[in-house]
Amino acid sequence: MKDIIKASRRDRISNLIEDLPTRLSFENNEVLCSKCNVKLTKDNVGGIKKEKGKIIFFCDKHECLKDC
Amino acid sequence: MNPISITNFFKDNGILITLIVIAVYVVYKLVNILLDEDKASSFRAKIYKSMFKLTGRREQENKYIRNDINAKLNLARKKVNYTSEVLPRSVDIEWVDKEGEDSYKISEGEFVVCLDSSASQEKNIVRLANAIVKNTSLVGLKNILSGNLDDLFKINLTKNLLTEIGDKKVMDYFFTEEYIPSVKADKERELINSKVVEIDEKGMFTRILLSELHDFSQRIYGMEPRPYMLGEVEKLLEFLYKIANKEYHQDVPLSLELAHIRTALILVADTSKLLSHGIEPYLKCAVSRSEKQIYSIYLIVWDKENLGIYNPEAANTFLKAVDDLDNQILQKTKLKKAFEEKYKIVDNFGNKRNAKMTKYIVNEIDK
Repeated sequence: MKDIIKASRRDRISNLIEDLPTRLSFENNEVLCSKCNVKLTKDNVGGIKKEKGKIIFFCDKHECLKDC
Repeated sequence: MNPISITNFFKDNGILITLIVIAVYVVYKLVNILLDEDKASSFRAKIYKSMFKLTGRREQENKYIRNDINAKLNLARKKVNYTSEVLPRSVDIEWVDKEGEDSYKISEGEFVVCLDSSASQEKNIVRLANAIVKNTSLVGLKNILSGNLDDLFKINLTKNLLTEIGDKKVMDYFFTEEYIPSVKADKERELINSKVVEIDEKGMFTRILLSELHDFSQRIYGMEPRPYMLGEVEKLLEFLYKIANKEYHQDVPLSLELAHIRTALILVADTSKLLSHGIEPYLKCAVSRSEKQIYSIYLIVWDKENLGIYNPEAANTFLKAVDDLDNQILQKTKLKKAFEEKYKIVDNFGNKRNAKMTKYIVNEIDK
């Protein structure tokens, strides 16, 4: 049995990070890792997940495929 | 047809025969590739890479990244797949962003991992190997292993997996960005990791340590996690470390009998001892261990790499004795063979040794 990994290119997720704070007025215009609260940039974003209808972000140290 | 007419036939049709041989070889290779999903991915990756270089199209690049990762990780996994249960599962990448669309739809609970361009493919491979090992290996021990042990077992398993890929760029990136910062984070981690590395260098990390941890997780399934369970894992690590690090003729314990981890090793490390004493001492040891409450026995044979060159007769006798030992163990005990694997190690004197490990397990119904 294979694990299916959903993937997206870094620039697509980076666009979301740059776009979201202005559209949704995030606090201090920052998107943070939902695990360690580090500020996310296009270089350290690791992944995204939809939870309870919202998209949450993870840094590259806290990306995970299933258990987040 | 006499030999002269055969020679004449080859002289007259040389080019045709060569072309037929090449065609048969190409068809054979293609069938081989097509029948293996991962080899087919590797083949497709090469084609998409060339197409991307020619056209510069992002769609071809995405297909290259996907096929290359699938092929490299899954083929590497197969190379160490003598016991499928302890290894992470194989993977398949699926892109969520379609070319020409501004956004993508994510379903509830779905995780999307971020991958870099093909110029940083080594980074993609390392990140995915790490994530897969973290999430799909040592399942069942999540609430027992402490942070350090869990992290270090997993990062060394990732190292094993990536080593099989055989890509120096991938290993350079992994060691610089992941392995060294993780294992050298503090003195305690450094000490534990040095033991794991020593065990790994003697070929006992994936073959014994992880295999025993998998069996252990099966035995404690459904039981409340208790501190003594972590103690058993720590004792297993120490037990294997002492064997991996033992000096020539130094006596170290070769069996570990705890509440849930009960294993023994039979080490045939001295070629001359087996040749002069025969298989009896080793067989007696296997029989007596199998009569105790032991769940598994590992027979480890370290053969001198060049024995066959300077003394072919002794090498032949040695190999026959090892086969005989294996047969006698199966005949005279209730043990059954779980796996058998050949590999190479470098011993404490820097000598290259051919190694063979056989794991025998006890049918637990008999216990």
